Amino acid sequence: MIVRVSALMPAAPMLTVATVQDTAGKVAYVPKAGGPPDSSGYMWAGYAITAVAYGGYIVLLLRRMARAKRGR
Amino acid sequence: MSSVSSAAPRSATVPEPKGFDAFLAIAMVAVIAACARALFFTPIDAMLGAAQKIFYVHVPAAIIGLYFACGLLFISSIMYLWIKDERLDRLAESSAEVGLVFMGIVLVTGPVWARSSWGTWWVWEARITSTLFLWLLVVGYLVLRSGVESIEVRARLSAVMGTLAALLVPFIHLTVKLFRGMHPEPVVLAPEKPKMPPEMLMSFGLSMAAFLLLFFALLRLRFRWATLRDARTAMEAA
Repeated sequence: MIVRVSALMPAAPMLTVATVQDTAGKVAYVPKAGGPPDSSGYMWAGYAITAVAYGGYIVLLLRRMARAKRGR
Repeated sequence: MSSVSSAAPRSATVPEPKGFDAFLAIAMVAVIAACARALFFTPIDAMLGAAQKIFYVHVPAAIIGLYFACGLLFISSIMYLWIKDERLDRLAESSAEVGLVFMGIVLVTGPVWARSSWGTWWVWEARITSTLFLWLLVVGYLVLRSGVESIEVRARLSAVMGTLAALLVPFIHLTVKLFRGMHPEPVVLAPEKPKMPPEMLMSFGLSMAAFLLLFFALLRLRFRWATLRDARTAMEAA
């Protein structure tokens, strides 16, 4: 089978295109060439959820104690 | 063996709560310091990127919520059924509620990390599903407690339910060995040695210590509140 070189040429630049973050589709990210994916948004989300959960529970406990102290 | 009257708990005097809890304050400072180290002074994972740092809050919450909180729930429930001391009932109640918060954090931070590393928020596989089931059982335990008026009946029923719920923990521990799933096997407590570089291991150790402090500070506060609540109830009933 004879394959013309010109038929393969348009595909070559595509190998270097997928280097940007893509969170719109089904995959979480497209890995960047030469480094880990930029997933810092997930990291901050995880820590924010943790802070809100622990902080909220601490506030709840302190409010309960304050109410109990007032005798209600 | 002694028995507990349903009308009057033993603690007839009302303990006076302090305004400032130094233990809780120290624990909160330790947690903030551990999170700052994990976020800003720990290397980024080469494969998973920055999202891997959820590990430093997800895994301590899992270990403490499942092993420490449910372990305490199990021991204090069994001990209550044996010696019928209402302090054990309060300890079981407190460890269940604080453990519920820790397990809840596991169940919420896990999907955030999973979305980044697996490409999906949730997978119905054995480890994750059984942890959700345990969380729901502990919710049921607390709902049961709020639905029974008699102190003695409430303590006895919830001790039985707490014991049965905590029996799920060994199964959850073994799920990654028994079933095929996406959840990874232990990384730190691996049979041979930890599969992490020393900097990450140090950050994990500090996070673990800080969250353990927080767990005991919250447990102590929750237990004191339960003691105060029961004493007030007893005084009102008298």
